[in-house]
Amino acid sequence: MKNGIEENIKTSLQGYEMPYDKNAWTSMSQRLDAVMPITPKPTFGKFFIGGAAIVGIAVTTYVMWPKEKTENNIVAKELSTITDDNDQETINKTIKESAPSTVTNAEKSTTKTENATQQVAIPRNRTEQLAPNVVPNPPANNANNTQLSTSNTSNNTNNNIPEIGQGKEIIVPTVDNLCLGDQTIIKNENDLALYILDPNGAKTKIAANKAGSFSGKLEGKHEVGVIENGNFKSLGAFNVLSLPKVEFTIDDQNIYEQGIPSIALKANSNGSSYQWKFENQSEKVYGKEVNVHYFKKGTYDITLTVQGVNGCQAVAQKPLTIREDYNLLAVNAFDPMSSDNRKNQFIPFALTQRNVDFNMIIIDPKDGAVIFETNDATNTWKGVDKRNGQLVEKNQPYVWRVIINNPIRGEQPEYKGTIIRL
Amino acid sequence: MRNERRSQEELFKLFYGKMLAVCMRYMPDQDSAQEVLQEGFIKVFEKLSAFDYKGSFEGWIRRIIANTAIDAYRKSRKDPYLTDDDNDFKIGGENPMLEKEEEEIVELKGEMALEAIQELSPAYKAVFNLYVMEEYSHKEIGEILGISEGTSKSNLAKAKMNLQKILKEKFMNID
Repeated sequence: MKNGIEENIKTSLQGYEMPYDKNAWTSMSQRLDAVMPITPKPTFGKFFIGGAAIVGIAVTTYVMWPKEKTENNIVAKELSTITDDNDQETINKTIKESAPSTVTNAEKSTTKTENATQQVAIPRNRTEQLAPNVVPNPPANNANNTQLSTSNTSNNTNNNIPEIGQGKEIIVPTVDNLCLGDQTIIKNENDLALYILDPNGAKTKIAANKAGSFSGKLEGKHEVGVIENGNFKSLGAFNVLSLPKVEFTIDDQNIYEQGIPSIALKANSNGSSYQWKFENQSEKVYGKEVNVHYFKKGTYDITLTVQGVNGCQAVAQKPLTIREDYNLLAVNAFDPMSSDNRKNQFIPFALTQRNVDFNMIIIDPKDGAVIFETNDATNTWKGVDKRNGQLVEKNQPYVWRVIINNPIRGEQPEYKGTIIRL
Repeated sequence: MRNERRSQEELFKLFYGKMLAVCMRYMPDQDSAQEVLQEGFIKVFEKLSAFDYKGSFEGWIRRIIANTAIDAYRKSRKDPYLTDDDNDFKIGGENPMLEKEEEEIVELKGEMALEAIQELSPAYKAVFNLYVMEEYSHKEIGEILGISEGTSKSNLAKAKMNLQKILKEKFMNID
């Protein structure tokens, strides 16, 4: 049972909306570019149209076929499920089959070919990548062939390179563009081997009904196809994209920008976005040139992720060493009798430079009493004990303590030190 | 729309104000709230296809954002610079008599409530938000925050007392 204040606060906050910050989307967008880049897609629009036309013709033929003929000659068959070894995705496909037709020897050798019926497979998605594209003189150097590390998706292993079955649709795996070094799983759901032809002409084989891991190790266009009459026949392609150069410099000097320790960082590369991650700080910072603030001495990893114009990202990391703790740039002695305004009063220097909400107290360590207190950087300690209005003893240390009410990211809210009255 | 920036932008702008208010309840300042909000929206965009249209879409987004904020709070407790000490930054004392004054706080505005919640210590703030706003039980809060059920109850009581004092001090004379 909620009582008054709970209900009151809850009611007041329900539907409460903060004003929109016009820069919010810019920042969000940059972050999305870093974590959810819009991957450039291969342009296979014309192939998609072709594929769609084939599917359309198949469907139209099925619908328009005379009823009695259909009953005699058309067999509706639900293929057994194909299980992906990698993600256990099960895809149920219902395939309409046409009347019996010629079957190649290779097809006869597979267990999926039943009673010489021709399978008209419907490519599952992105058929635009899969339309035939014959390569006139494909390299046929078997010595360059690479066998993928594969896992069986059925028992239909075909060791020989089969010819393409007449009139048979080939399911060409969907392969999105990769960034250099990326890996992807490629499944061959056909009863014949597929090949990936890299820009150097080397072929990687994906055996029939197998799936394997492919690494993008070479930049450029990779074609997916089959061997037909001893030649490579391209059925689709994907690109392995280059990575952006990533390099950055760390300014050696810890500058105190408005009293705050600040190290300048600069990316020396050209990309579409730059994301910085600083060890011990959860906030990510975006920009080609940024500053990082560390308050404690130590060595921290600075990580820069650059996203290139093609959407690929590269990461570089460097250590940054902070040599001393930040303590609000406070001096440790002052002389209230001095005529020099810089020496005759005490307040940590950073408090006079920063736009900060703070509270400072001076404590007499002999009895723990607070002898001065301020939250105004212009109201400095002149060495007077507020209890008696007298100057404190000479050559004695007094403890100062500052609480920052609005610390910046990564900053501890409390500082303390000692100050000696000379 | 997983990768459609225009649609993502529209969705982001539509729910920005309400969701930022959710994040502000958990985070110490607007910068970190914005950070959490962005993380939350990335999850929203990634999981959009999983929305099953069975409940309110805004409620679904709100749950993701709130969970992201709770996660951020839990992570922040591991940050050596962020305190979780109940006594740090606590406003006001623990005067049980304040319980009797709560009827005086009427027609509380959203920004006042948010500002008051922001002044609570992180530990009190987390328990108050989870119990009052997210309607978790003390047992569930204990599991989420890794504290005992008793501590959750105690922190809630102290949070309420502090809120009353803050509201009384800051806003009682404000319409």
